[in-house]
Amino acid sequence: MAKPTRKNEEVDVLIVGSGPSGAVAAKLLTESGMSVVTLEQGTWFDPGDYPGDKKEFELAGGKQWHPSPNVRDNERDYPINTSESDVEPLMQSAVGGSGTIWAGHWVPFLPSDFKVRSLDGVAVDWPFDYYEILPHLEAVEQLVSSSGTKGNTGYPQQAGYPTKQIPIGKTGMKLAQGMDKLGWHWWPGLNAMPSIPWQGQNPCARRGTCMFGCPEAAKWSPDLVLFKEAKKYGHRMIAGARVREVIYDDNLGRVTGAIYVDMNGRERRQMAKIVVLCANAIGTPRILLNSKSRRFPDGLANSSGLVGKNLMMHPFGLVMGHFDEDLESWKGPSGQLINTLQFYETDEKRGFVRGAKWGGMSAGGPLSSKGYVGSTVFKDGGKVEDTWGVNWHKMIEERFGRTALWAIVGEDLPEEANRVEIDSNLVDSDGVPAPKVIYKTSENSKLLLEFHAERAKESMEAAGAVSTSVMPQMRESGWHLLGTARLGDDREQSVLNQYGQAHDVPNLFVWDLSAFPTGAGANPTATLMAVAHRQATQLIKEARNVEAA
Amino acid sequence: MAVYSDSDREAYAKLADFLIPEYNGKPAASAVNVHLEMLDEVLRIRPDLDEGFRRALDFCCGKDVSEALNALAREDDAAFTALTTVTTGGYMMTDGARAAVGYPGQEASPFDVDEIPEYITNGMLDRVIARGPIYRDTKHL
Ligand SMILES: Cc1cc2nc3c(=O)[nH]c(=O)nc-3n(C[C@H](O)[C@H](O)[C@H](O)COP(=O)(O)OP(=O)(O)OC[C@H]3O[C@@H](n4cnc5c(N)ncnc54)[C@H](O)[C@@H]3O)c2cc1C
Ligand code: SF4
Repeated sequence: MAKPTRKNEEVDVLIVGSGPSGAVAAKLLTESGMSVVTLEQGTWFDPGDYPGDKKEFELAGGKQWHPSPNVRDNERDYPINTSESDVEPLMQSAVGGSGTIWAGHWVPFLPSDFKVRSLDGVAVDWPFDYYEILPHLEAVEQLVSSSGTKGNTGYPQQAGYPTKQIPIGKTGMKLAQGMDKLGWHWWPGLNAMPSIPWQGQNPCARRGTCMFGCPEAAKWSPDLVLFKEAKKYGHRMIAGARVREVIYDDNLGRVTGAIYVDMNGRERRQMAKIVVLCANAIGTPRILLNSKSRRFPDGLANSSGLVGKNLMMHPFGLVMGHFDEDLESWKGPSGQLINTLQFYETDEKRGFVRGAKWGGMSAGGPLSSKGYVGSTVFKDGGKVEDTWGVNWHKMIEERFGRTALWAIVGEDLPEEANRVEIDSNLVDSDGVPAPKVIYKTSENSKLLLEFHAERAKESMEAAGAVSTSVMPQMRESGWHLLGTARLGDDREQSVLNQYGQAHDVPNLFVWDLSAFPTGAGANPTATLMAVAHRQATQLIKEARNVEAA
Repeated sequence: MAVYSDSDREAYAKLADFLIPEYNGKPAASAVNVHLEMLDEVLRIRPDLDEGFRRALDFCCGKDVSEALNALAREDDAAFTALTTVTTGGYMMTDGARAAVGYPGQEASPFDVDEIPEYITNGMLDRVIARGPIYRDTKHL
């Protein structure tokens, strides 16, 4: 065990950000004997505070527990200028990061995702492939107490999951029947939540409120598990610590730590031999661009000019099927009940490249029904009476509890024009310059979503849906943020090498989704944690060789 | 938080009952007190709705309900959204409305993890397996 660190003492490793990537880093590095401090701008959440088991949960989800920091507007969040973005980025600022409110859909990337240039002639290949990641994936599948069914034909064979499948419920079964009729691929949902008590997590109780935080302490979240383990080995979490910049020493040519603002508004320094950024694909480029020095006047580790560029946010569509039968479609997990990779791979005949994964889910509580009929879809020429009054009751009768949905997560291709910058005016509650996101949905993404929405509609009809509702693209759908400090072999074309180490600064690493050169068409956290596991394993192996500050 | 007088609450009850009237065994909004303690409860949970809700009340004051709400929806979407969110939010938190729509809330539903799922016993998953792998392999690259 590393000796406990005193305040402001130089540590071996400083991690910034405590989401899933920071948690993997903290656990592995601390267990290897390094002294590690994590700085996290958010604070600890208590599962008892989550609204999911309270009557108010959907109302609270519209503000305090909304996934957009711009809507929550908490002092611990930083604001994001999204006036030039088609999509609103979503995240949480807390110990555990967005892992506190993620849905737990565990969807590893596929082999083709690492080789899109070779296979489809677009974007770039990764410097490593699926098979190199696989052992790390299998390791993190144990860490997150996953539950699922081995043998998914959408993937090469792998080891299996520590806990058995959570029931897919009436809604999952309905969706599966549609796919079965059409002869399309589907598989019971793999989730980062155990079906039995496991590693201190409770079994999922199917409350279906994962994205408001799990009140059962069942869904895997970094604060529940990995940070508690890391603490046993001497890891120190400093919560409420907002990093303003990483300190670069022009003479040494290395980073030496970070300047942060504590909960009392005091500026402090944490010195370290190695800095690992895990602040997500908006938070990390923000820190790098805010960290200026003689050598890096345009932001730390930015000689390629690519810091902040190539932001990817998965194009997201929703297709709902409304059924005659009572599906109890407020029941979870939410969590994916089932999923499909039927249309995942490129088929040029479709007029676009790459594809999407669909996650089958229940439609949620009664206020979610406002999402498909309600105040915000008051069309030109329409009348309030069309959706309110008796018609509102009819909508609830026909849809609430009877709605299954496909959540379509498509691949977004990297484009330099989609980017994170520092806004010229906006600052957070500590006065630190805040980011601006400039993002346009591409033609490829639009075509992809249209095609997938049509197929998803067909599958709902095959399942016997009485009617369907399609939301081809939602603005508040930036759950997956990727690509803004990409890794690669060519230092002109990437910010990091294949181990997430900055080409320009040998003791600076980025292990969050900023590092991903392409984004796949799948929820990214499984692969994020597997890649972080690979990078941490390599750093431990090379520890003595890493040139330390 | 703004204080709502009895007459504000009466005026709101009329709007609320227009949005959610009594129908097919389901109570009207005012029958489950959306204008009384539920209004206070919703605004305790969501103080951010207060301003828009107050604007909606002021806008509709003294007007024909249908005309007022249609004009509000066209002219001040934020106020209309606040009004409908307060109303549906309050309504769906009440035991009366929940019982009427058959919603037990996001209750825990424990399950038997060893129960063999129907999709295994009826051969549905076997049919997926029989169709074989569908991913593109990259071992050759
Ligand atoms: C509602 C929601 C549902 C999701 N569901 C899924 C899902 O089902 N499956 C899936 O695969 N993915 C899902 N995601 C995405 C998933 O949550 C992210 O991919 C994952 O959390 C990224 O991990 P991370 O560690 O890179 O970053 P984050 O989890 O975003 O953590 C970054 C942390 O850094 C901190 N930070 C940022 N800047 C600073 C600073 N300057 N100083 C100090 N600290 C800072 C933040 O406060 C935050 O805690 C979901 C996301 C959301 C928002
Ligand atoms: S569905 Fe399961 S994991 Fe999700 S919130 Fe409910 S109990 Fe937690």
